[in-house]
Amino acid sequence: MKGRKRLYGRLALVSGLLILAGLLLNLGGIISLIAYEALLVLLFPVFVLSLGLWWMAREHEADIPFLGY
Amino acid sequence: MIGYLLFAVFFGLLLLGIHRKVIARIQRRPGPPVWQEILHMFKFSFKSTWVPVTASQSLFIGIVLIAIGIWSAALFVVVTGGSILVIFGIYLLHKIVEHGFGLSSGSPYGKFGGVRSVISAASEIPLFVSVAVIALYTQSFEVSEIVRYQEVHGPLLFIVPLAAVAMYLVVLSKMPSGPFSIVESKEIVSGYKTEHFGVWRAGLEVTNGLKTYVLLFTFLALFIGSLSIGWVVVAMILLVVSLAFACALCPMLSPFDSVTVQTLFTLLMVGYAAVLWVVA
Repeated sequence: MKGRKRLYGRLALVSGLLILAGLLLNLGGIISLIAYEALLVLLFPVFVLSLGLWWMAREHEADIPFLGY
Repeated sequence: MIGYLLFAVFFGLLLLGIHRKVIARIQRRPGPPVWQEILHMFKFSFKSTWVPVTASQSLFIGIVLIAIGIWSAALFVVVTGGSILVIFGIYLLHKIVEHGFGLSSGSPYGKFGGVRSVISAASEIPLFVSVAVIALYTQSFEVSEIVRYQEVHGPLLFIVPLAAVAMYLVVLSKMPSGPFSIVESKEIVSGYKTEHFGVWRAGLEVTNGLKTYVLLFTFLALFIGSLSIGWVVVAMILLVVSLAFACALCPMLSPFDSVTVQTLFTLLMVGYAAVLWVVA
């Protein structure tokens, strides 16, 4: 599970850097606004979840969901 | 655009906090602080997170990514003046996403919530009439063209008020604690999001912030027209306060009654659209 946390951390870093690169390329006029928006639609969710999982992914096995009283 | 995306997430969550606060004050409770939903997002992102053993792992995780992705796309479409058909397609897609949330967890409460989200798709039907009436007057489905039409002829709110009421009902049906909020009613715990906790729920909070911002921004663009960012903020707060009054004063309907009321209103709107079509 430690390896998985490292993977989430790398995923957050890569997606964050790609979003930043997209912003710079758009500001420089190299990629269009629509291409930058498409990049954000794909990478923003990945960045949000992988950042959270890098912090808080549990390191032991999963539980059974709440099935009622 | 990333700055605007983050602004929409945080301001959307702040609007949901104002919504909760106003409902609480109407019910003579102190209520949480207005920034409570923002704190919720951070709180959930710091909770221990895993995937339940009974869940479909790929759907359980993938649906959160899709939820954030589609509302990010909706935000870009509406602020760049794209087609309202795409935005309303995303409204409908959100129902499928809610269904996916509910079914992916393996929890019976999640499944009930998922089924109810399909039933509550009836709330989207007035949208079609609203769109048809707007297109009848403006001859366009593009938000930018509709905004331009209003610069010349005045806000559509005064030209086709019933279409605005139909859209307002759609926005109301997507607000928490409202008369049509059957997907989140307490007898099914937290509905489709019962098992999405921790980081997954934080992702869902991001979606809620974006969704609220997009819904209100779309309403303002379609029925008021072009506004500066300051006026957008003021108008959104006023809209949320009015929605909070509707939510606080109307009891939550049963699923059957919710669908019946929305269907009756749709029939009324179809009649209204037919009259406008004949007159125009």
